[in-house]
Amino acid sequence: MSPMEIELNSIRLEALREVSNVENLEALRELEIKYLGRKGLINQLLKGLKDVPLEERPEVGRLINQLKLELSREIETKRILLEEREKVKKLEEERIDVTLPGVRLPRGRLHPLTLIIERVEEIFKGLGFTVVEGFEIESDYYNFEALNIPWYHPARDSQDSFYITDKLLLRTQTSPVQIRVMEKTRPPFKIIAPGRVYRRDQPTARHSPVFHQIEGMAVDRDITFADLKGTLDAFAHALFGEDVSTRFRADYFPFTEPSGEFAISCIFCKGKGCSVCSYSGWIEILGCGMVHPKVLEVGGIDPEEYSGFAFGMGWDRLAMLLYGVNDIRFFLENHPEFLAQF
Amino acid sequence: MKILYSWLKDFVDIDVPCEEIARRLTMAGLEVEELETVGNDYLMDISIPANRGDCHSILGIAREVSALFDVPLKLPIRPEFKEIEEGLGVEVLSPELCPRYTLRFIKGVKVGPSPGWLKNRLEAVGIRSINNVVDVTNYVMWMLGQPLHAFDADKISSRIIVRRAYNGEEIVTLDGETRRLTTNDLVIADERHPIAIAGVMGGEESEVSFFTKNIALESACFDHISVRGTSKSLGLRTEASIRFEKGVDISITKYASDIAVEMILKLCGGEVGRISEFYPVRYEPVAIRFRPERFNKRMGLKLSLEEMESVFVRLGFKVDKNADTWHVTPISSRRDISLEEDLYEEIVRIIGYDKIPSTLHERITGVVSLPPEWERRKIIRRRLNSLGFSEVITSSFIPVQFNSYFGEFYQDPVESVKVINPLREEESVLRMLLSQALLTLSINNTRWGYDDFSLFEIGKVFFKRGEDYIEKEHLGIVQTGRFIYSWDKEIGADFFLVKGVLESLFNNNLSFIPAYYSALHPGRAANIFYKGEMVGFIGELHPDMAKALKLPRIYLAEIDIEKFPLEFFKTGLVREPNRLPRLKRDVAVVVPEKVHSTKVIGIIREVFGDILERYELFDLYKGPNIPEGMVNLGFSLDLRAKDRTLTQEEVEERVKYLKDRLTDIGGRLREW
Repeated sequence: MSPMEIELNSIRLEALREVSNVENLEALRELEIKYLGRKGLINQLLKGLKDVPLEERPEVGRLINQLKLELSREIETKRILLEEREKVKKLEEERIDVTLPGVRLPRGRLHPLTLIIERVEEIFKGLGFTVVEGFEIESDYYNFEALNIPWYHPARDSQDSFYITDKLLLRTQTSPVQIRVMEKTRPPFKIIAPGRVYRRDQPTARHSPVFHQIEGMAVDRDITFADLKGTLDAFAHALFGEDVSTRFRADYFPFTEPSGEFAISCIFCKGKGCSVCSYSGWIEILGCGMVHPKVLEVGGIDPEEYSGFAFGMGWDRLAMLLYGVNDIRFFLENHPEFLAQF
Repeated sequence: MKILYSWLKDFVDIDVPCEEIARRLTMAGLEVEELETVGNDYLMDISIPANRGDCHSILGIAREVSALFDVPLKLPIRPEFKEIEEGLGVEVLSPELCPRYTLRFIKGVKVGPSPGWLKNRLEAVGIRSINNVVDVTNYVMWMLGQPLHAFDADKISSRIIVRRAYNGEEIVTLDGETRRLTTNDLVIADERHPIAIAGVMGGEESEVSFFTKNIALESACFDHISVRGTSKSLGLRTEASIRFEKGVDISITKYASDIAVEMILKLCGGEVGRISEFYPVRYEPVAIRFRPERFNKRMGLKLSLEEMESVFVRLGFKVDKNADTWHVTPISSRRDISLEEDLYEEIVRIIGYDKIPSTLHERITGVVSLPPEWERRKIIRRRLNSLGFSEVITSSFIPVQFNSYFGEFYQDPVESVKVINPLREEESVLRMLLSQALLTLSINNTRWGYDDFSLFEIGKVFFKRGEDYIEKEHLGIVQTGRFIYSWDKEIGADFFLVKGVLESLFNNNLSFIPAYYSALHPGRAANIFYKGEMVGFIGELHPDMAKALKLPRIYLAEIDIEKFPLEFFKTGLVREPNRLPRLKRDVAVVVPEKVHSTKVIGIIREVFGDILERYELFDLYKGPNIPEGMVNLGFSLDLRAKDRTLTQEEVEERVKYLKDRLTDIGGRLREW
């Protein structure tokens, strides 16, 4: 071996040792510059070729190039290794505790009364009904007189009113909408009228001075009492399930004749009797009847030509039944814990 | 109305279990609310509808049972008496309030305790036994529905006068209370003063006691409206007034008296004196037209003529049959029946509502459209839900001290609506703004320990403008505490959060102008405009108020949503997406602090015109490098033309123009 070869070999061994010992990319880059850089050792060796005897030059040149190739290969291999190691290290540093809680995002919810009315609306829409709404400040005329409830009528006892003036009051029922619809609309029509009503009752679990009703009315030629029953049957089955039984019995309301009360078999005890249904097996859900001829006349509709049915139910009460709520006051109280369940 | 099964059986021959009777009565509109066993008897508690005054008696219920089960009714036979000459005269001065009046004199009774069977029956139905005479009057009332009253005849000076009370006239009633009367009240008086309030309660002075020897037994028919009025104004409801106000059968006034007299003679002895009667106009039930074919058509039934007639006969009604139109005369106790439809109800009631078929009227079919305000409400609810806000529904009543809060929203003079007879004085006012209700709700939530909430309500507000009472639908929003948060970040309790919700809800079509509200933070309140019209407000609750109400920083907004037609929320015709390249250009402007950002945005929009697709304020900076009193606003602009690819030169030309325009407001463009 020529002295040149011996020198090259020792450079090679030193370089390989250094590359193999290097621990980070920064140091590796420095090594690369030291050996392979423009002013690096290899380039200096190549420059020094001119001092090598002519006959040895090809061989030495070959050896230098071989070394250059070997070194760059070694450095490249080492770089991949170090990069991989650093990536792994970085990923490790980015490790998070995936069991920590997620960002708390608000989920918008609807009020239970809204959820109920949207179901009711869907059902009646399918039966050909539309929705109308009335005023909450009503006159005595629309709330009582026009509905065949004169001032002396005992039915007023159960509907103690909040008065605004001696002729204006907060409606005690959604039924005034019946009159307002008849005044504006020629038959045939089918409507439901959901809305807020007011009665001067002390708040208890079963009564709230502010509550909600859903009125319904259909007027056309030859609408029958059987149609009323059929409509209510369809409604009850859609809302409470096909397996409930229904009961239709006589009742009294001043603005319907004949009048009826509609009940479903108790959804809690399946009709066996429990505290919710007062051990009767039945839960009354609405009052109804054929629109009283006097009421049709007040609305400008000839009771000989047309007939109609009407019904009214407690909206809050439906919600109480469907969600098993036993205090009507919960709905307007809006306790966060109550609302968070819908 | 409590009915003893054994007592009922005095009037009908029936051998049906009481449970079945209770079921059929309930189905027929006389709801048996309770059925209990009493020894080897049954007691039914029946809820009587307002129109069925006739059912406030054993007889009335027996009539129903007789018709429902088609069993004969057994009525006590009217007794005959040997009368002595003595009696008391009667003068009715107000026949409009007293169409029939009878007074029977009975001499020499022995008042004492009632026999056991009488006591037991009365006590079973909830009436306290007093003495044999009074017990008989109650017994007959329960049995026939005719209230009776026995006076101690020796306490009456000569004759009875039925008249209106004088204003301010007083009487001490049986319960020992002094009652002050008006001319609206009917009294039974002797020549000196009232001895009973007609149809409501007797007077203490002429009460039958164990010392009473002679009695005057009153059986009368009083006007139901008058009795109801008196009973209401005195706050005095009695078994008698309950019956009179629902209407008693004018045809049994004397019959009931006779039945009672017979019992008194049997139990208390005595001699029967004269009966004085006032009954100038005899009541005759009116025949009502009934068209069998129309009945079937209206009810959706196919009953035969025989079936219809049979029901009327079972009810004791007279039927006069012509070919197509019948005439049916109800019995005199059934004053609730005056129209053809009332007769329809009688038939279906007696045959049972369960016999009605279940059909659907199919004439109106097809698509049903809902009113725009209904649809609008649904869209707003969904949008706010998707923005993370939850719905509440609050009472229309607000605490009276919030009465005028945020009232600056109304630019013309309006008043809140007050209830004249509230349940509680502090809840006598209807909300004029939803913010008033949401503030109330926030106080509750905070008190319950809930600090983070983001809520909305869509509901009515009420106010009085001039003489008009107005109801409008508003949207109210309240936000406090954290909205989005985790252990390392937090958004919430921020004016711009609530504003952002509104901007998103209304598609950035609102403008906000600083405003003064006494209940809002003076530097954090704005009126909201849409198309130049004021539609709402937004702001932080005034810190003084928040402190007084023990509330944290809380943000409120309210919008009159009736100002937005449904179309506003609906998607109309859509445009094709623009597929030309989009240029992004950031600009930073330095403007005097006093200049509102809307002013700057207005200039940017004007300068870039229709090539400005979107802009975003991404930076707001004051401090080093920015002159005192100035603020740096960084906007990123998305630029794109509809018809051509924008060139950098075109954009830079506009930026140059922007630079010029900014000098108008004392600002400049900040070069990077």
